[in-house]
Amino acid sequence: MIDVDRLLSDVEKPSRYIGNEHNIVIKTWSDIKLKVALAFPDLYEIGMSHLGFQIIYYLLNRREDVLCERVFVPGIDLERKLRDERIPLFTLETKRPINEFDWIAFSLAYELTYSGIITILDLANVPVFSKERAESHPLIVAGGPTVLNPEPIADFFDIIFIGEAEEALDEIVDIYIKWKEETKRSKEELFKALSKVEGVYIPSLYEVEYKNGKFFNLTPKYDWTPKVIKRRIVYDLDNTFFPTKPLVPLQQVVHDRGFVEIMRGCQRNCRFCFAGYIYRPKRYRSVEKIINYVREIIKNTGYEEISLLSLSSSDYPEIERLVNLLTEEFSKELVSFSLPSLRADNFSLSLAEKISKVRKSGLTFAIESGSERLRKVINKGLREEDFLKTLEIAFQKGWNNIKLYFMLGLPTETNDDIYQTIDLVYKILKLNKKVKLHLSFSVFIPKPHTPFQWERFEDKGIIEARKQVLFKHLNKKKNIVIDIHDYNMSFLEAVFSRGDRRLAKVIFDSWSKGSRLEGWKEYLNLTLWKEAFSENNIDPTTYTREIDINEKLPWDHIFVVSKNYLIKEREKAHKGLESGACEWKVLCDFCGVKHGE
Amino acid sequence: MENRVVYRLAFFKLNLLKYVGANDFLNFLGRALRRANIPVKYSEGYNPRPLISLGFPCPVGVESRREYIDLTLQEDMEEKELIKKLNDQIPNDIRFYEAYKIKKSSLIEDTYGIDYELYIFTHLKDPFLLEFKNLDSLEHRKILARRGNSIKEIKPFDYIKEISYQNLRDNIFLIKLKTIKLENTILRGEEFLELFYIKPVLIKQIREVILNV
Repeated sequence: MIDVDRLLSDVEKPSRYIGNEHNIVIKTWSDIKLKVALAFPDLYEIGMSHLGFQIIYYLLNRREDVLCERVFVPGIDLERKLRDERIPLFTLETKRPINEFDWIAFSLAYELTYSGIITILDLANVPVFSKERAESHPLIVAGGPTVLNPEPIADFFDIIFIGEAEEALDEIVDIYIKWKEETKRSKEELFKALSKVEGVYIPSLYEVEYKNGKFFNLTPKYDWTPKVIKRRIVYDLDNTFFPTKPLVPLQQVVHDRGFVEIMRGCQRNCRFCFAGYIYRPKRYRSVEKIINYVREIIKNTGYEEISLLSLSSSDYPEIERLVNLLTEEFSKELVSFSLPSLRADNFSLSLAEKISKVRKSGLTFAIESGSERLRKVINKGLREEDFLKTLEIAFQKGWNNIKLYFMLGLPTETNDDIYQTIDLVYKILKLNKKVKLHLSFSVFIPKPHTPFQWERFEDKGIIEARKQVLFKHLNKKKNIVIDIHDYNMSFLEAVFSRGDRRLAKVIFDSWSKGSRLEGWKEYLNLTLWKEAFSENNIDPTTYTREIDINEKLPWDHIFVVSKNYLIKEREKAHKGLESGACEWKVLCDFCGVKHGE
Repeated sequence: MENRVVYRLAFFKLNLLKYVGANDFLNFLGRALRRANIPVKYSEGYNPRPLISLGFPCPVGVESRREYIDLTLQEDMEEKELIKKLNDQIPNDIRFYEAYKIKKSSLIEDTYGIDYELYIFTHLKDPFLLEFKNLDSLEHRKILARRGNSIKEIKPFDYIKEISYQNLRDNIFLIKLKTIKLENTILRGEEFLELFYIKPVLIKQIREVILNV
């Protein structure tokens, strides 16, 4: 056990490293067959805000033969101290060095945490590249949404799990334990057994070819290696595991509340939205189950707020009944509820009104663009007339704080679309002069497995010019706050989103030069990345350009939705044609996702 | 009339839990109270908060043998039950061990002073000891200290009631310091060390809040 106290006296936010949270699981080391260090390659306050991370923690710990402890990227100050004093990185539960575990399993939710993988492995004295590791080293595993294009980080991992872990994790654990207990063990035997599990991708079993500086092909090395990896899907969401005794952090984290996932998947087909494609098909939990979970979570955590998670709250079929029952039962206990991802319509407004009885917050809508034309291109399905009517009613009901999310650099966007956004803002101000408007702009990033996976990531000059147009017309208003996401951060995210296997070396090199925590604006240093790209003879714009539809893509071996379907959707987008909401057996565009029937 | 019962509770906060800051501690307590089903009173308004008052909050990194909170409940509760229910919901290094009813929450007013145990290391033992023995000569020395959002000049000696030291081993000393509250401010343990020309390194600090008798 490492004496953590000695390390923490002069580091920033020491409570990140102390463990001791309510509902922490600490098991006896000697009784266990598989020991997992569950790693999140960003700071504590980010990792602890991810539901997926807590699902895996309890999914593993619910088994008697498995223990799972947590580790996060340390702050720059603690990293320096650990290096100076040659102390290995430790878990929060028992302060044990993470290289003593059988697995170091990473939860990857954001591309700009990739350098954190290296920080964690290096501080654990584990070789970063899988080919440099011996059988005695821990198995390095990854899962999470960003691994749906696993290639940029493929060289770091022994095993990458594609899809939803609730079912498959037990299968993988069983195979590993069986393999570990056999005396004569080689990694190849383990890989052979694991590669039969749907959703398991073992990068070292594939050969990659490049031509003219671009990705060309990825082929299996052995006849037993699967050619295509299918995303693992939990079909019966209502009866699958959900953690109702989550860890309650001792310090404020980004999403400092309880969560119940009410729905997985989304029917809306917003063409830019990664989540909208990678969590298909749409599945619900029953109202009764959700209420039970809420009850248990409040009892087990004492949280004053529960977030009902889904990609589009108002599309949950019984949302009204659910919200009524929840507010009826819990408002007297002063527990409030939040519904993220509300659509900008009257129905959503009435829901927001109901849930704001205990704690009143502002209203947030992601309308993506003020241009009706562009909203058709991205299939947002929102009419300006309806949106303004919704706001009018919101103002009448006393909401005066409105936050709107927009994207810049969407496919086919021109300056005219930006003026449409400005017009829309003026129309809102006309409805209510006192409104406080927070306008948040991000830069569109083409994501794999979406109809926009071939589109370009817009140049800095163009984004900068559009930003100036917005500022010129909107920034002088006292009641408007504008924030625009850092271009450099979006640029790197765009590179990794559609990257190939050559990027692992670039990540390693820029990390070696000192790059850390790129998801934090204050730490991102693009110069180090530029140097690393150039030293590896890689032009990063290879990954941000428009890709020809006939080119092979680095993630083609990962099946999420059918490519033909994406091509059709893309064609419709460029014609400004919308697609209806998908509803299995009612309206289906045949995206190729199975429904478990 | 509205029901409102105020309890004063004493607790200790040791080991790694000393790294929990005051605001986080309030959230932590609010959630522990809800888990324990203790009928805590909430503030009115858009963002109801449990009525907990901390007095002079214990700084991050400082352990404490005795801290207080004033807790307002909606109804009477047996003190023993209150302590037990709360302790069942929190880690072992924080324990409540005393509770009694008071008329109104007034921790700052009721605080007499703070006792400190400062474990220090000095690389120049003899000069440090010499300074210590001539402490009285530092009576008028002023130091800069943060008070709220501003930095003020204070005279540490005005706060000090009693002081003694023990040489634990080699260059490690334990300084025992009893301080009093002055114009609703207190002296922090590390501020006392600012008095010395040869400033020792603070290894560990434990405090104990003393209330008016």
